Amino acid sequence: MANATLGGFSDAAKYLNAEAQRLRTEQQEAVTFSRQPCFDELWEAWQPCKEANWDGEGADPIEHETYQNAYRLIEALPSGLPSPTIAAEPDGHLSFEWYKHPRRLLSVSISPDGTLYWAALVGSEDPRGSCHFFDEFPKTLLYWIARVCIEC
Amino acid sequence: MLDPNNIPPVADDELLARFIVNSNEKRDDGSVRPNLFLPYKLTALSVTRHRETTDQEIWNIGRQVAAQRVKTLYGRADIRASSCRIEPLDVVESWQVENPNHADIVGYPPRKDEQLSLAEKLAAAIEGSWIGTPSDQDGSGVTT
Repeated sequence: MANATLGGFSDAAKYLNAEAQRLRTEQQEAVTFSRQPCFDELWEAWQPCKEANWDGEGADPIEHETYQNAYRLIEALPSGLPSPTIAAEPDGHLSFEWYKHPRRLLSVSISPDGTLYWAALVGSEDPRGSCHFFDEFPKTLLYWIARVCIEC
Repeated sequence: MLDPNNIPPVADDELLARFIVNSNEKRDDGSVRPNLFLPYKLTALSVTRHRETTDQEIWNIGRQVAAQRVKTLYGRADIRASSCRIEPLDVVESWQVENPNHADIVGYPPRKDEQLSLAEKLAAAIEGSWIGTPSDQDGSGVTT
């Protein structure tokens, strides 16, 4: 019934549709805004590493595709979860890290082809693996971010 | 420094230095990030043995390493050889003309997630905090 009303042509329906769209936009902007420092950090990590040998020891350049994959991964990170710290890796990957202390952390390495390699260390647990990123934040990583950052 | 003509095997209780030449390899809380212990291209990672070496000599080697790579020497992290000998890793002597105390952490598997996991464990096993370069005047170094 509600859908029928929203789908109609009355002034009320038009108003409700516009209001729903405005709220969706505001929500999206709020998420984007809250992640802005993370996007900034990604940019700063990428800039000095776009050329080969940026580490003085033969490092691969961080390709634009890798930057884009990392950007989309931040966009896909559900609101309410902490942002990672970001760094370049000499094999041309970008790494995201969620860290509490040296034995409670999650490292995720993002490759140019969108493969995510990850490893966590939570006390005596040391899970690791890889998965492909298809715009939806991998549930396995959500679980380990929660284990690292939220769980007491 | 060790005598190049008589390089002993790396003992479990030896302290090894890993030099920090990228700012993103250390944290403000005194810990180091796993990428300090990530190998690349070679499946071995360079370290310098403290054995028969003064602190000054260790820092001089660190400065040489940074200069060769045209990087800043931020400091070093020290780790016991026994802490590096976690399956499948080992530490072996690998002396060089310019650094007789050079050694390698060897045996990293090719899979990136396995390397990350090992690097996390090594980073968690350093002795105390990372140590800032003595001449570091910006206050970012952690001294112990």
